[in-house]
Amino acid sequence: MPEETLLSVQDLTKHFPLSGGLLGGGGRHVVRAVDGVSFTLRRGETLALVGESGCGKSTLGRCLVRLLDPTGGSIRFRGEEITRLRGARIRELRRRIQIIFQDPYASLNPRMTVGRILREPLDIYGEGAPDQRARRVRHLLDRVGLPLRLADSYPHELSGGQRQRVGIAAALALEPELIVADEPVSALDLSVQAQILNLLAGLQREYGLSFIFISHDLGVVRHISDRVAVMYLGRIVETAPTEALFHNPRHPYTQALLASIPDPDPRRRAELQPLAGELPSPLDPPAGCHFHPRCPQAMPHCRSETPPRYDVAPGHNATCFLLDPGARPAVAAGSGAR
Amino acid sequence: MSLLSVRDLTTEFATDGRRARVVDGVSFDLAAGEILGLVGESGCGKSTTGFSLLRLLPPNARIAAGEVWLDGEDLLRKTDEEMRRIRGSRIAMVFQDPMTSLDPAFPVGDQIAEVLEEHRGMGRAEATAEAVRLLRLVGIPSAEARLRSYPHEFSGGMRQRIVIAITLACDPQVLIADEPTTALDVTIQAQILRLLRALNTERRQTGILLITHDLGVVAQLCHRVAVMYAGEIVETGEIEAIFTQPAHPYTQALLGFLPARARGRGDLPAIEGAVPNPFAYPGGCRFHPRCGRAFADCAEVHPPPFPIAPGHSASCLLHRHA
Repeated sequence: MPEETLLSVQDLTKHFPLSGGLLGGGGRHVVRAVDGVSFTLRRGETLALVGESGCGKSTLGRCLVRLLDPTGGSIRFRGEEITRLRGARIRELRRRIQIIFQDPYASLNPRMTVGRILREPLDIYGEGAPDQRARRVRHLLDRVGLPLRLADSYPHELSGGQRQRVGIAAALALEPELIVADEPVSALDLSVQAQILNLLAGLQREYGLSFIFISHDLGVVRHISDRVAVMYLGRIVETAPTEALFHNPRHPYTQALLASIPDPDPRRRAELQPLAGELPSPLDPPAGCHFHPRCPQAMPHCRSETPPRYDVAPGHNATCFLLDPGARPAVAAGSGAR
Repeated sequence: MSLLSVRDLTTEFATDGRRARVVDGVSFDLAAGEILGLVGESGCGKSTTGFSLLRLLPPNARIAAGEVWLDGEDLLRKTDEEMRRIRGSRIAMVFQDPMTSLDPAFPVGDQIAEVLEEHRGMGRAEATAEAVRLLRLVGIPSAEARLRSYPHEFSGGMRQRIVIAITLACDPQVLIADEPTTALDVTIQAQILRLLRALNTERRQTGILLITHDLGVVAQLCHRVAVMYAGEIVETGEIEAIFTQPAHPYTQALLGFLPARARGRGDLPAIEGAVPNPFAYPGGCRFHPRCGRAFADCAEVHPPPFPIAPGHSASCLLHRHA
């Protein structure tokens, strides 16, 4: 099967100006929530965006579906520049790219029944005749594993797992090609999380969907994604095929992140070697490599220069000066791999 | 001998004239120096169990039955005034949201010093010096300068460390930690877990009841585990036994859900439905409607704990003749 690039993101930035507030910044200060991000997504692929709070992964997701206007850079969807689409063109785009949120409760209209929530996009986009729309709503409910009687229920009458199924059904209504899923299972209990992950995987197989899967949970990411991009303070620090990332992480931050996940196997009880320091504020990220103040292997120039992207294997790259082939060979790769 | 011994603890909530046994006949023991994990999904009663031990319940809840023995005394027979003195000094709690335990209106140094004055009888100067030592111990940089900072001036991870510093100041025999790292990023979580582990080994053998839904945290930290489902403990055992030879189908399912333990990209083993509503528990075994191995008796007979191995028991009829 030819590998078709569905989404291509180049040097994307999203800056939020700081409103004056008490200190009267006068708009001169900006938060660089997304600070020069590039990646591609192939059709049918799941790319995970992972990172801790404030790394910019959710802002990036919202830029991709154009809920936020990027500050700079480019997003191309099926080769078409969508970064600055407006009006009717953006409405057309929403058919093709949909988003699922962590808390579907916040995104589902509390005054509408589930049936109306699912029907609304069909009405707005004039999909089929009215009786076809009703059939489509029933099909959507069935496909996401909800009993048809729930069509007359309101979101508050549903459990968290059922609400997330409605959120997924609403995203599917217009038969999109790409779904951005922002922490879709983070608020759910383990048993429900497993159900939803299986549902997403089944939908992908059935419809050839592509996913951008935003998550802080590396266990979930390892299970569901083909490739992973690790973000730290607005930048992607490492991109790799999933197993390569987990077996051979090359960026010291990725190594620390993987070493921090508590292993659910008591026979592999590790001496916890936590990364020192706090997550820096995205308001005032460190100069040079953003990670250098917490990096156990930081070198003098890491404080002043931003590391470029080094390719370490096909499809695997990381932004760290330790990977510079011109530099002395890197010391034994940290403690991250397991 | 166990430090904390809980017997048949039952806590009821009343809403609209209906009563729900959110905690229903829970029994367990916690030894000095031990970390016991109390795990389960939302609504299983694990947090209510923690609050019941401290007798910190909302007005619509009451402890309907049971005994909570701490070092030979039944906490459920103490007066409210006696209980107030016991809380904080002998049994303390750390919450998911550190602001539950911190007063936003006072500098953190004062909050730690106050505990030291009240519970350890220190004078102000001595208490302040000890507060600095404790803040250093939990890894707050420039501890002396930060004594005068208010809780809102710290990050979430820092606040949780301050709560742990206050807990150290109390020097309790038993610490109840309710999802202490759930709100934290994973690299910060690792720092707090290391602190909890140190608290338990280096200090005076504090017994820790760790309430969590995170099986990774349990595997890394706990000595024993009690698994809760629908208000009851359904399995108890040593950490390795529970993770390698879980005996209750619910425990088996919980471990199976973990994507990190799944092999490859295939579907996760899922069970249908959700945790039952405490106002309408199913009859017989409360897990039977979702259990892949249920048989006719499971809908009728409420299973007591059956022994699996020394220190390991499971409330499941599959083990009736074991």
